Amino acid sequence: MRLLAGLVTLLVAAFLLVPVLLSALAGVTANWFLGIAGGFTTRWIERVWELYAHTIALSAWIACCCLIATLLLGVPAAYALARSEGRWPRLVEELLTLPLAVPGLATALGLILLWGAVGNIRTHWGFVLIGHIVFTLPFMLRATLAAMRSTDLVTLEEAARACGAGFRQRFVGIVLPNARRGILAGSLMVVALSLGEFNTTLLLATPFTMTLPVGLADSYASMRLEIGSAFTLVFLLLVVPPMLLLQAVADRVAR
Amino acid sequence: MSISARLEACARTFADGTVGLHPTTLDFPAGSVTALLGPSGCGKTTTLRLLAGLAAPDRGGRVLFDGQDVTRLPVEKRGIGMVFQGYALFPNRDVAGNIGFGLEVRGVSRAERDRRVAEMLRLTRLEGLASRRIDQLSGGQRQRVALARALAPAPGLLLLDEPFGALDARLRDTLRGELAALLEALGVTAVFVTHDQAEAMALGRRIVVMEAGRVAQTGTPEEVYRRPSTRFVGQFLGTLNHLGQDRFCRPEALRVDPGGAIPATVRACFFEGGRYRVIALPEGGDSEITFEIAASPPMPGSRLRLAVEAEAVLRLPA
Repeated sequence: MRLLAGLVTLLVAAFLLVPVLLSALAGVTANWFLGIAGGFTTRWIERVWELYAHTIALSAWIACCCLIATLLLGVPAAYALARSEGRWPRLVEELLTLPLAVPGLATALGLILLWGAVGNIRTHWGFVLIGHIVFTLPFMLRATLAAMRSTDLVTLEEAARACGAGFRQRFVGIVLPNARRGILAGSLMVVALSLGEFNTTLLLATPFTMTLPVGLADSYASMRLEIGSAFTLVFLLLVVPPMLLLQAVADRVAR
Repeated sequence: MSISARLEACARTFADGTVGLHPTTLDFPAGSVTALLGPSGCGKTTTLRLLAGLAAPDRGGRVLFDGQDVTRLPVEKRGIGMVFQGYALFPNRDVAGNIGFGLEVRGVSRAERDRRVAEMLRLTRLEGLASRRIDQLSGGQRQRVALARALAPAPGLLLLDEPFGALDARLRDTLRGELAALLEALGVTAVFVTHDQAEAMALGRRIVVMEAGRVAQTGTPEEVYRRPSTRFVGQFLGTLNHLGQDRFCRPEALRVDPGGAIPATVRACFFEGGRYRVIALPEGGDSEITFEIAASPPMPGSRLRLAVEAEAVLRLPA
């Protein structure tokens, strides 16, 4: 029984990892159609760096901005929702999480209709950022709200007030620390989703405001297979270690 | 420094229009210990929250501390201490961090804070637990941390909402004694909410019995027990025997007496440690009466006669 379970686990892992590994492998072969026999090269990786380094930098920048924006918007919004009761706040909560169910393309179209006429915003990276904020904010909100609800924040805050704490003192000293697990989980999710977001970004981005995943698609579509694969490899090397590190840091802080 | 508190014509109507408290005026003299006693929904917690400033009275009501109007003063500026139902300890802080919080937000220096926290730990017998996390504490320890946290800034008024609600019966007895001694020693004005009449009588020098958003009676434990003003108060504070018409008496006013005026049939008899509790049905009566005897319990079904002391009969119109 144990053996079987182990085998299934291995198969699942293989099912998930083999395509990614194959693609990564293709990125370092001189010619994928000759296979490993054709020899290995770092040429494609260098080429990717030349062509797409700016998409990587932009993705990292947008993920950071997106995190800051969702923290500044999502945490206070979650706090307000956690403190209010009744039908209206519930409705607001449901509405705020609705974008999750709307296809990214539809969101993008909506954003273009709403913002498209504002100056030259369409050529600015800020437009992509807006799309990412719309997409990731519900995750930050939900995670933070769940943490705030589970700690009975309202009573804790009353207790802090009874101890003499003013708003700033209780928000910084009691509210935020007791919601930190949710805020951290939300932050991790926002960064991961922003780095990987493709649906909305594809429509919002221009050749000058291309993010990493859009660049990836671009390379698949217009470059040779090895370059696209090399890009996958670069993506894995750049994104996976920081995410693991972030996760580890978050686990430590949450404890 | 204990203060006196006064609620003046304070009423409280909730958002949905239900009345939590009808206009009420209550005085809490400096250094007094008052129990707000009543069933759930009687307005006792609302009264406490009005004193704390966690709720505002309807228009026209005033809250006074030492004669000063504090109606508009927010909780954090009232200088009170409060023990919450369920304690509401801060999970992100250890025991010392919880106790010291009120001093921290007042800008008390580190050294003075440490000294004061150590003093509170000693006072509440929590020595050695200073760096414990909240989730590592027992129920009784949590209760004491909540009390220490409320008392650390030396408030003039201490408010306690069902301070023993979450504890088992035996622990409650122990802590009740401790709290009574502590309040006595500190001399702080204290108001606590409870639905437990034994707790109210053990702790409160004065009991305010509440019913349906109104004060039903105010007095010492002896007064409200022996001379209840209404049937509700009488029944809420202990067993009340109905002797017919508007006549009632407490169980201890009855004794078995062959010459007694009340013939009755024994229904049940319970051994309660120190004595027996007997339930009997008077002849011609329709409500059972309860009395206590020290020895030789009667058999259920046996007949006996009961006498009642005339001065112990309570006349309580419906």
